Amino acid sequence: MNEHDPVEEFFARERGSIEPLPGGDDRWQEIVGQARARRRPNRSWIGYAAAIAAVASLAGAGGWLARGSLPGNNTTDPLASGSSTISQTSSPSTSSTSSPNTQGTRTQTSTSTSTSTTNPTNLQVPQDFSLMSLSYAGQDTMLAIGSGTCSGPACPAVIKSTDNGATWNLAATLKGADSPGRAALGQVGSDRAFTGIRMANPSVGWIFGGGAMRTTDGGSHWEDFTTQGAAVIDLAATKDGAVLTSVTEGCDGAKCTGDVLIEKAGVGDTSSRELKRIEVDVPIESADVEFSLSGTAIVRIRPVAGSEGKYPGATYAVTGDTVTEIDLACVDSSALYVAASGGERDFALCPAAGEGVWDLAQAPLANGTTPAWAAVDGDQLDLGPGVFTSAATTDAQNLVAATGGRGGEGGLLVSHDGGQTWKAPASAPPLPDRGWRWVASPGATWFYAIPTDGIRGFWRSTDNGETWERVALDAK
Amino acid sequence: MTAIAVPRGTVWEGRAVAYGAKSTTADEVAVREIYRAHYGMLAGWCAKLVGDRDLAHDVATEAFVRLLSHWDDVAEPRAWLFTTAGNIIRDHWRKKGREQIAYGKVGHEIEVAPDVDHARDLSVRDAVQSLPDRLRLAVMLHYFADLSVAQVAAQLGKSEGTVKRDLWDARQRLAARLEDAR
Repeated sequence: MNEHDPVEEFFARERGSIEPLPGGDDRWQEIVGQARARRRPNRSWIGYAAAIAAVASLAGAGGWLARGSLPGNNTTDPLASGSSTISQTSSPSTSSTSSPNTQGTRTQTSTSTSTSTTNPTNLQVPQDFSLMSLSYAGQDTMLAIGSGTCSGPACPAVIKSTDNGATWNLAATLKGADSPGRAALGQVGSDRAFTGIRMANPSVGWIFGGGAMRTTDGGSHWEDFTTQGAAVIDLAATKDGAVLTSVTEGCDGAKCTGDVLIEKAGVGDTSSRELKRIEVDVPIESADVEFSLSGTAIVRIRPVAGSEGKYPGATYAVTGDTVTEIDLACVDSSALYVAASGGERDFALCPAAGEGVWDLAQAPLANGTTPAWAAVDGDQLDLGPGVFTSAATTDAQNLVAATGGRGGEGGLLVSHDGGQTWKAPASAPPLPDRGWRWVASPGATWFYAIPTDGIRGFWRSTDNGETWERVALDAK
Repeated sequence: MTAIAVPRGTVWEGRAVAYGAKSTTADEVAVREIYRAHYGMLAGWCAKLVGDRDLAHDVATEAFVRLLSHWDDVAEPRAWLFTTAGNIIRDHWRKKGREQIAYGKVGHEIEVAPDVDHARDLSVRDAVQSLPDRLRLAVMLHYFADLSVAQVAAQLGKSEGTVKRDLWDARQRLAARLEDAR
């Protein structure tokens, strides 16, 4: 201690006055019990008749390992050894308890205690359904979440297709949770709203936002899923589980505040556990999670515009339980990481001069260490301005990038040479009123594009982005 | 926000404790020793910061639950425990702050802590809470939990230089308050 340092002397005095509060055996048993409970897989699920029938049907079809292939690609199902999760940054929802209190010992966890799921009797997708997030679950099964109508106010609704998107039915509605609706224009949502969905397989998946819920029966019923943060920003899934990002304070539709937690859960877990806490002193606009082919989850945290000086953002690789900070190719903090899909390379979109103009870099698959990025020689990617920018690959050669978010703006371009040249698709979908919210690929030669307004449908390409067809959310 | 692909061979390790096991595991034996050595002091440390013994027990208990869950990854249990407890307390303060703001917005009276006579009684809780949120944890861990700068840096994932800068900043602010207390 420095002599006569009043601060050190003050704390030394306070430290010396600490009165130990012994715990005893009872408290130790409580600690052990809680720790065991958090590690225990979900044993509480009780299937309803319909759900049991659905599970039996899936098992009868061969179960996960014998999942059917995508149409037109019978030999190389890109999902054969894992799930494809297609998604979009999410948003927060439901209530959270973010600190200990005298009534309990659980701290800083988020649960959806006020939300109930309802199995609708009318299985038609609501006419006002607005799509927010989509996930291909394997075995020709897709689930999506969006804004629907729950006997009055808008609420999140989950819809499902078991024929690769040809027909859709309402699977569940979530009363008690908010829906940001089609007005949502932020990368993140607001508290109490569910806007993201990821499936690990046709039975198990998560919806997330201000909280998270999990299904084990293909979306018919959802149960609370406890996370360590107050709001879940993004979640990516594999067949074995999920990696998610959360924040300790919450999100307001445009930004999230608090420390960022990187969490992980097994497919059978009813809660996630913290792998790393990242102190962030400024609001952030996103904390995307994506899996690369190598099985490494890439977490990309971006601050809100104007805060880069205090916190430039960071990128982390999650391999097993190890979280390592890695560098992206771009100096600018608003870079986008594009995980490889069927290919052998990851991509990064680096902002260039001009709004909506990007330089492309590529690197070997991320594996926990900083990849060796190399610039892609060729054209710049000129998407034009937009709130949302996203890109996806089906392999190292075929990419689609899109932007949108504001009226009259947006674009969708395709590359078949690893990002060297970009062009409009031969048969491009018409530009939605507010452009594109998100593009993604489930594998093979398929891409999906979701309009910003998400009104009753999305667009699909089965030929690496050259031609597109509208997928309406019609019932059988 | 892009395509997600097919992880091959990702290993999602199970914990050392068998699910549903009733017998004591090696992890539990090891953490039990840490519990015996540090629980009382950790809970007491928390009590000074939150001003509530029940709440302090809750925080310390939660820190040990997490330690048991992360045991394989923890190199310095004492530093890890105090960091975890400090984070929980910090979140608690943030939540209380938000609640007060929310109550204020809807017209409820905000319960204001009684004016502390700093000339006679500046508590460690007052001192830490007087700091910006970004500085609190480093101060709690270094000055109040007596962790070294290197330990604090390792726990917070910051460089030692950054921690030293934060502590310097905090010291300037606290020195002024302590000066007032004389």
